Amino acid sequence: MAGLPRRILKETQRLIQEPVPGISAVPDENNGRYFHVVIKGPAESPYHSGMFQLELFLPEEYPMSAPKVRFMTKIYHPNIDKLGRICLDILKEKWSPALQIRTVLLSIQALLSAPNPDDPLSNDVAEQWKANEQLALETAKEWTQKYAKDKKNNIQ
Amino acid sequence: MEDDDVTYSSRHIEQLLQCSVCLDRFKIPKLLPCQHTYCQSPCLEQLINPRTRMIKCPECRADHLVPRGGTSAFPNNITVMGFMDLPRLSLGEPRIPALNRNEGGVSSVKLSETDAYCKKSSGPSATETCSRYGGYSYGNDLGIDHPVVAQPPPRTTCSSCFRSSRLSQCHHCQQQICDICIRQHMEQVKVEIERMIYRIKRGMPKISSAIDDIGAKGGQAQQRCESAKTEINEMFERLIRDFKIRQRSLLDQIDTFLISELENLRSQQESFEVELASLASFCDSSESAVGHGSTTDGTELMQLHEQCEENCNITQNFEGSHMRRIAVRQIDINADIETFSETIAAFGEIEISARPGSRGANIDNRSIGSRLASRLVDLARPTSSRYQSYTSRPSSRNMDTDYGLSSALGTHSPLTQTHSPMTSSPTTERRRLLPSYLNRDPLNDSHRDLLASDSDNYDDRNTINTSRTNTAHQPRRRPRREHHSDTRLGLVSGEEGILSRYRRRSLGGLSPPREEELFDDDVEGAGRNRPYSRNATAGDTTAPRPPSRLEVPPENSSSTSSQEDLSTRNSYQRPQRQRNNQPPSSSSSQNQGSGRSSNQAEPRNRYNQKGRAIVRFGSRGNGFDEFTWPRGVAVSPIDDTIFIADSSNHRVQVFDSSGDYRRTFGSYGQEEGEFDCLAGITVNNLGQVIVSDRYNHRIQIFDHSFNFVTSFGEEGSLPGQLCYPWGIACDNMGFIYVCDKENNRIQVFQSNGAFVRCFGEQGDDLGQLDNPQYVAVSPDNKVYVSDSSNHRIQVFSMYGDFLFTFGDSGTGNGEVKYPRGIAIDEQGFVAVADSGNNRVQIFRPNGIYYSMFGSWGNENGQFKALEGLAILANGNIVVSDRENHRIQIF
Repeated sequence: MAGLPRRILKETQRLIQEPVPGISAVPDENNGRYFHVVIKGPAESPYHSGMFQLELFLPEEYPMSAPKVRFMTKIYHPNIDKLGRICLDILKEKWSPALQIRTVLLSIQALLSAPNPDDPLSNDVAEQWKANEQLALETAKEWTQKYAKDKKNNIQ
Repeated sequence: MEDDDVTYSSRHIEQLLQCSVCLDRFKIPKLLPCQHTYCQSPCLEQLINPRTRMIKCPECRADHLVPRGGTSAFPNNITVMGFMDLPRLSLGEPRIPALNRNEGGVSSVKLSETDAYCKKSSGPSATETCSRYGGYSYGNDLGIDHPVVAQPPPRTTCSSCFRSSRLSQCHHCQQQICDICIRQHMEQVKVEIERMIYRIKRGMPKISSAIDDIGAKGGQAQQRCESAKTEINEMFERLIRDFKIRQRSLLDQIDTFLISELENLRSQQESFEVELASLASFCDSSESAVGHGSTTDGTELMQLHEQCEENCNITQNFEGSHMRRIAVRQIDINADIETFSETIAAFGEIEISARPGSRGANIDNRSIGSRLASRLVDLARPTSSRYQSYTSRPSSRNMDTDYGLSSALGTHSPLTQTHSPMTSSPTTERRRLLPSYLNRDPLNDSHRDLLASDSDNYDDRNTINTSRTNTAHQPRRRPRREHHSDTRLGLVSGEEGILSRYRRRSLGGLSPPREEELFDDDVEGAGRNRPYSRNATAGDTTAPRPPSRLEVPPENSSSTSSQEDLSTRNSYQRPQRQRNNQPPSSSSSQNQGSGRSSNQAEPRNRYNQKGRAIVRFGSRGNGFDEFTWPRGVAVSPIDDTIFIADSSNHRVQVFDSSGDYRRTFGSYGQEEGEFDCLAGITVNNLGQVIVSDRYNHRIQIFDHSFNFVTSFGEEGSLPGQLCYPWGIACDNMGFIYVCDKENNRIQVFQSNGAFVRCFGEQGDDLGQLDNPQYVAVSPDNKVYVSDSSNHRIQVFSMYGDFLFTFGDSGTGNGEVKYPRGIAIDEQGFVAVADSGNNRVQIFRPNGIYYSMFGSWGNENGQFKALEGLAILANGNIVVSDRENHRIQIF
């Protein structure tokens, strides 16, 4: 941990001391830049009651460049592709050093509540979302039951 | 300072005093114009975009220009500084530190405990001094700087526990401390030392990276020397080529002369033969009239007699009058070999200069590497910066300097360089290149070849003239200001086979239409009637004599100057006005096609008749010839193979020109030969496939059998770095033009990936770009950029100078919405994928609307969101129909 910049240490400390409701982020024991993240599916969304595992990595340039985040749990979402990559502007060109791990994870949580099929990453999902939203929501629920359920992670 | 204030607000104050970038307490808080505050260093420093000198506020994303004085010129946030002083002031009272400590030291976080020791006891006056320094001492992290407090009055009690005991003086802070407390005190000092050691250790990698850097520089120097050598070789190969061409041209002139002479003689011969025949028949008929003494009366005899006398006169006078006319004209060959040899002997020089202010780690190696194509590092030579030599050298040496520079930087093509030494005095202190193999006698060569010349390669003299003229144009068109290494020419030199098509294109491309306008009178004049007199004597110029000149005495006409030989070109005061030959040959029609004439001409490709796809293929999927969001398309200039950037399948698919599947390469990933949502694709004249690997922020190059060759670029906004590169194109010299989309600029690389230049910046003014998506280079080397979010096409010179723009937001003819792919045919007609209007529009080279086809839908000839375009050799347009996941060919 010795090589970690103060900023990362501070963020880590605060994430552990004051966790965001519905989100847990724990640094890897071997690499302080790698976080195991679990996000609870927001209520009122098809992902409700799902526990979604993500990985988050802080690159060398952090905070001048965005963290790399990826869903490990399969999820049916127009802005998340089958490899788990997330289409979110703040992870790409809209990154700002004033953002933090905490804010990024909050944004991802918000993305789960409000999918944006007009700016898709996963094209077939987006098309279905637009064509038949009801069916898409059902599929998303199904996938949540199927893939995001049997995790034993407990989130405060 | 009320106690209440401090206690209840310290936590909140602490939050307010936290920089949102480093999440630490402010160090020199600087206020941006948007009223957000950050530490000056390192936070603000790191936020500067080195290219634009702008800071984007992390809080509100407002852009601010960094003042000339750097981040320190932003105003200090005095309010914040005042708050930062607060806890210090309160520390002056002995009670409060205790209080703070109970709170977990919240309000005195940054004050090292040692400081607290020093100050607690130092009395009101010392405290004040302390706090006055205090505000500034925060500039250094963690309070390592101890403000030098005025020497405290000698004490009799321990400054820590206030009990009088055996006192000794702490060397560290000059306080009297008892033996009990001093151990504790020393612990504090140790902690601080450890902290400092940690900082030192953190700084050490910088030094070792500087060492690595030096190692890399050695490699660089070697590399530069190598590339300099290559460039020299190419330069001279090219000169030799040009020389050969000139030789050919002279020989051809002589052939031409010979043909016309023979023609003359033949017609002369014919007329004599006629005369001879008529005389003979006259003799026969007269003889028969006289011989038989038949019924001829006196008058008839008299007539016969008269005719005989006339014919006698003709035959007698014949010798004198006619023989002169058919005298064979003299041929002389005039070449100023002396001067030319000297020129050759003095040709070329190596200039070596160090970079101005080169400080180890700061050098942007990439950019030097490309600039210094042939520059070497030499410590022995006085440092002459490139910039100085451009501006501040004495004018008498200007020419020389300029030349030396151009040679060093590879600014000019070798042809221009040939001439420079003629006008510049040879400077002796520079090392000259002595091309001994060039130093032979062109006169003798011409003579020798004159005798051996065979008349069958005489065809049309203009053919040769034109082809040579075209190569000769190239240097003149290049302005002198850019470093433009000619290594790309080397790329194509020597590989004759592969280049037939290349040459066809480049010939068209390199001859600028403007320069072909003023020549007609020459051709009409002496030129056409007396072909052998075409050699320009250029007698009215002050220039050095031509190195080789052919003269035909009887027709030593006034200068037709249509022939451009080395010297006359050089000698003209305004070479841009140089006249040119009307080129009727095939190579010249290429010229016209790509040039000015096609502004009026009809396109050969009959764009106005397009509208129904000839071939459609592909559907959504990831199997063979299925696509997921195809984006860029490219056509190989060699064999018309079609390459599709199958973006969301992370691969390139290859088809032949009729749409039959050939193969696939690439897969998802970050390694060599792997892609992440590739976008643009192009094929250069060597058949290399160049792909912009969008999410990996790099360009990858594959050889013609699709093996990975190299990749370059990384995420960032520095020159040579990329941010979501999109469209990509090559000019006919192999330069790679990349739409660096998120950086809103076009970057130019050499064919090996060395950075050359970039141009464009965010904005909607002329020359500014907003999401440049695709780029194409016309045969005459203009760079057409689809400036997507500005709904227009912008045209730049190959140096990045803005030339003109066309298209306006709208749905009418000639109006575009979010234009994407661009393709340009050999005539210079521009096809634009008008993505927002789901159609393809064709423009003339000057941006005038010509025709369009396509509409929204998924039927034949309909599109949903167009992306890349490419034009096949037969004029068919390949269109990437993204949302339909298919390719259509029109």
